[in-house]
Amino acid sequence: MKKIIKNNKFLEIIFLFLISLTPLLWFNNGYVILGHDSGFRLDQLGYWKSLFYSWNPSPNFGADWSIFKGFLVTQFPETLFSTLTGSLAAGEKLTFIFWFFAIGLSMYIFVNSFYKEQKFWFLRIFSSTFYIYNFFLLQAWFIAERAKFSIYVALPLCTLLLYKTLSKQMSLWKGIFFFSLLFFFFNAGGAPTFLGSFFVIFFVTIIYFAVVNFQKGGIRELIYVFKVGVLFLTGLFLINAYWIAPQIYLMFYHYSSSLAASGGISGIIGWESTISKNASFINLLRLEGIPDWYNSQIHPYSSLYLKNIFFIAFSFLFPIVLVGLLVLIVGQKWRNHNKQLLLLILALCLVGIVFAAGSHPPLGFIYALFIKYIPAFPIFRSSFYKFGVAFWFPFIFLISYGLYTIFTNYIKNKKLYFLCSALVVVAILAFHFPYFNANFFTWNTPYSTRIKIPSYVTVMSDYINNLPSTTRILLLPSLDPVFHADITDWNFWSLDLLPRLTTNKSIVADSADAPEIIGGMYNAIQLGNEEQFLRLAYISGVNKILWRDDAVYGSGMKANAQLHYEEDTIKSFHSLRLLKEEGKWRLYDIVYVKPSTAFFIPKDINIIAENNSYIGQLIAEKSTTNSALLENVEPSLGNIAGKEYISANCVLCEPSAFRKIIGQIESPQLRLLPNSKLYFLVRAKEYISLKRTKSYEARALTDMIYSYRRIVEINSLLRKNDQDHNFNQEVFSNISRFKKNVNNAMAEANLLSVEKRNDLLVRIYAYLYHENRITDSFIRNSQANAAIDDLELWIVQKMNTLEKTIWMTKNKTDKKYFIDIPSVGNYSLVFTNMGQITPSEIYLDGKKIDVQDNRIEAGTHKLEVVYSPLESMLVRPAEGELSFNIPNGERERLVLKPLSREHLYTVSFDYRFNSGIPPNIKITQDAVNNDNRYELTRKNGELLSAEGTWNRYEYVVGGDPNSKNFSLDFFICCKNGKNSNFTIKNLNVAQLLEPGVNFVNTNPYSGKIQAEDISYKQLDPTTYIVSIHNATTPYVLSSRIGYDAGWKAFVLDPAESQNENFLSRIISRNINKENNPYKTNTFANSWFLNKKGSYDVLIEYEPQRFSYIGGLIALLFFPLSALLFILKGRK
Amino acid sequence: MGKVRNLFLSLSKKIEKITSKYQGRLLLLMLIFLIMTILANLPYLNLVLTISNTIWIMIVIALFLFNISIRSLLLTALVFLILAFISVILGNKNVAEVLGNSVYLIILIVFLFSIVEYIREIGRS
Repeated sequence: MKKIIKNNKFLEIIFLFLISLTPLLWFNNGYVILGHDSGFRLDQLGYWKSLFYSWNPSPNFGADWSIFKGFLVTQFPETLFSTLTGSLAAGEKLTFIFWFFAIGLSMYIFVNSFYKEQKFWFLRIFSSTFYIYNFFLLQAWFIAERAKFSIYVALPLCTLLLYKTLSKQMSLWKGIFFFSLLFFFFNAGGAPTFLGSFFVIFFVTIIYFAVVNFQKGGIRELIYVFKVGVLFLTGLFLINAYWIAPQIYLMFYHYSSSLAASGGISGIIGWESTISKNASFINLLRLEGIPDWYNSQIHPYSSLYLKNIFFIAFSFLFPIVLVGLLVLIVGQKWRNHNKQLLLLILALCLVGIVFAAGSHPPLGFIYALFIKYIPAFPIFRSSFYKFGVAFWFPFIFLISYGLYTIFTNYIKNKKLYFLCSALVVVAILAFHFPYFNANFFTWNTPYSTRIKIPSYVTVMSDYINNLPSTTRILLLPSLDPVFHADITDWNFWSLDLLPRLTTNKSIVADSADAPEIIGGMYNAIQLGNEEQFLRLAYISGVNKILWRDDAVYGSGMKANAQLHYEEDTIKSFHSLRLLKEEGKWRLYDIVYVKPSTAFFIPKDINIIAENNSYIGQLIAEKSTTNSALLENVEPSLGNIAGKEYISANCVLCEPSAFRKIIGQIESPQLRLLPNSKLYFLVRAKEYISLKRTKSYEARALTDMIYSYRRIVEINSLLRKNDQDHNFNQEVFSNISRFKKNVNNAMAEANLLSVEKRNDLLVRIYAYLYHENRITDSFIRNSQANAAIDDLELWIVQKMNTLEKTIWMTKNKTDKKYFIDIPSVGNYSLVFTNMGQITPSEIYLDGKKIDVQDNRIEAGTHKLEVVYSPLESMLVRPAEGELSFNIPNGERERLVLKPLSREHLYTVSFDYRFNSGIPPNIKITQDAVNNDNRYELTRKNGELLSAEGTWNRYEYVVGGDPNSKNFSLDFFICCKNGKNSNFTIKNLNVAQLLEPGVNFVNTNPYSGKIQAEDISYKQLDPTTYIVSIHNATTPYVLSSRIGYDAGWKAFVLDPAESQNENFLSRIISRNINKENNPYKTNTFANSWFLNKKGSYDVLIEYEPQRFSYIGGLIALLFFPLSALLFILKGRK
Repeated sequence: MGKVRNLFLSLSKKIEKITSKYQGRLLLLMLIFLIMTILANLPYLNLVLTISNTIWIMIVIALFLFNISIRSLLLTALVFLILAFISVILGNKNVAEVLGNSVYLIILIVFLFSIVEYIREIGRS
């Protein structure tokens, strides 16, 4: 024992352990870390068990959980500690200490392997301390990113194992064994994105040794290096196959859709450039550049480091030390230095910084090229976070080594050396002082991940956890409409909803990706429509409502002040009863005549195309408790479907739709004007570009872009007012080129199909409309006046021609649609979202038709639906032009009739600013506690910016259920003594009419589907056995489990039905018998089955099978690698 | 390039005569960097900023043409870092960024020279 204590390395490790106790400072007074992306849960053990399965039933109707498989290991420490201590807070304390210590120890082992001697104590201590205490890691601590910590621990040890094996200081088999073991325990949470840093370190090390070893031993050594690389990677993949296999499955099925959801390649590059905006080399060399520091005005500590001269100076010491180290080493010609190691670390540093900087100049183009051309690279879309460790680790080592070298070179006195070394360690701790207060958890005041959980939350959660497993709870009030986050008045904020962190039941809420049926339920509550709510709740399997008084919106608006009418509404529902009240939470039970089950055979099957934009309205208004609305089905299924909904696509129906198209027109950048000697280059470029454009649509749009460029060029020429004799000639030529561009675009549009042609002509019209406004502002040059007048007339004539041709909605009560009828037949019209309004006249291809039974031919048709004029919401409807002259500090108020919460309303008018200062506009709804809630977000000076010309203003607003007085106000916000003089016309405030229009073809086969009864049992969250009794026709088996293409149905043979052993199921499953699911009722799965009689159907979530296979591989690999290590390579 | 080189060397010699202690070439370069940094930090001189990135990098590469040693190159990097610090204090992040890029380039050059040298050493042994 004495020997151990006398051993300095023991003391060094004790020191590391002591500084690892820092998290104890964060957990006083009952605080815990919860919310945001922290991933901690009240029932940690229950959650950890759920990670074994690839499907988690908690988020809404369930979600794929394959991507979290790696957390089985990464979240094991917190599960162990929480379970042993029986407390989340104690478990978190121990977990945090564990990660602190593991990070420090990892760096310590790395350094100690190369610098064992006593004299290197400072290098070991400083590098380990610095590796724990740095801002890259601190920004991860506010949500305790265990995945990041995991890779942070792994990298030094991974580099060590690679180095020792490649330089043959360790046997190959020993290297493989420890390498795979390392990545089994520190697997980056099974998140492939965090493995980016690993790949950088791995490949740089392999390439480095390939060069060095080749020089040492020729081709034989080169082969050895590649052998090490391949075997190490194989070991890593095999031991982690349990999480890699299901992720490969997901990648094959979901990569394209995930990429599209991220905005495609261009969206990812855009996001990436935002993340790496401040990741310049100079910032990274100062170990800064963390995106949060610069993007947030209320960051808890960044301003000090960005503005204080002392802290700025301190951060510059890091690169100065590195350069100082290089000066010394180069000066000493690398004598007494481990050149092979230092050059490798320098190489890691130089490559790591490029990846950490992402798309930031000057080398950001490399990263952008990787995203564009390397498959799957877009998963590393946040370069700084994903590759930061690959720079931080080698750089921290070099700084530590630099300080050590400087000290040993210039400080010869031992006591002084010790003093300076100790001071530097203290200085690095002091520089990172935010570690020692817990302010960094408050990421956006007042929201923090360090919170105290009220007792009623834990009591109610315990109660819910003891309810039956079929419990499915709808959250009220609805979530914050901006972020769809769960926010409470005790500073909790999370996209992962609180009840999902505290309970193990299915929690349904209007999150950003919620299926339409959830919106339908919330809408029914808003409208007080109990029938619709109950029907949708039954279809979706919701059987409880959890009301929370502590929920608030992001603006700090209290739910109980503004949203309590939601609870008042549900209290008025006869089918709800209060089950339990605990503090601010109340649990209501929905009483059904017959409870809904996880599986059922619907009697009424309807089908709909995937892109039908009215699907939410159809499920809300036209569904029944025993119906299934199937999306995107195969033609064969049409035989058993009752109705097929075909949506009519409204052309420019949304408010401001035409203005949005104009807003998409980008102004051209003029580098050369037509009178330039180099203008031929512009023409050549345009000619080549048009030549290369293949589709008619793209070519027509390119022509219009060039036509716009011509107009801007003419404008610039006229402003230049050159007296050159060629000047007018250039204007005339440009006008003729403009006309040619427009004519070409229109000619190309005529080559398209009806609907596409119409869409393109609308765009051409928008260009002409915009160009016409620019010609209005042309400076008149006496010589070119006639030509300009002629141009204006030409544009107006073209617009008039197009207006007659284009099929688009111009009037709010006269809607124009296109409808694609797939086959000739009798069709009826189905309207949704109409309220009390009914259409007065309906025309198809110009002929008046009825709502019911119309014989329609296959093909594209024009549909027109005319409604009676809508009621004006102005108490005194305005006619003609209204002139206003508002004195400074006063307002002009137009009183409105009450705006109902059941509808949206459009406020629209044309305006022309005359003189003074532009006014602001708002709709005032005097809510209970908060006046002017619906203030329109127009800032002073923006509203009437186009002086002297008529502009259009449109805005959509909802009614506030708590308000009694409503008005439209024009006012001047700031007192500066000036009046506001402006004119408006066509003022209208009316209900927004957005009906859904579908054509329905009724199949006479409907209603003949029969299967007497079904029963089912759940084997685990990913496996069900459904017993079908006496099916006499082909049928559809529907579920209330969330839709995912991975849910497969297998009709089992009698022998298979008896076998419940999962291993034999994996092996014996006949893949050919699988049935793919159809998305049903906007959220669930259905399978089409045509086997008659009685039998069992296995419903299985397929990624779980891959997880089992991967798990078996990992189980087999581990003893195999251990055996090879023992037999072949103990060196 | 020859004329520029001669002009540079003659100016360097003149400075060497004045200072007599230090490397004239290095001092002249530092002087140029300092002037460029001051210019780049002045408001309304965005042109200097735009072109300076290229110029600095070109200068670093040009150092080899004047046979400046690796050690001098690293001292240049130290000066760059000090100038970058001044730029950050003055609030001109762009200039600091450009100087940081040059520091990176110098470290990269030092690395490449060292690795080539190391490989040769291995080859010799």
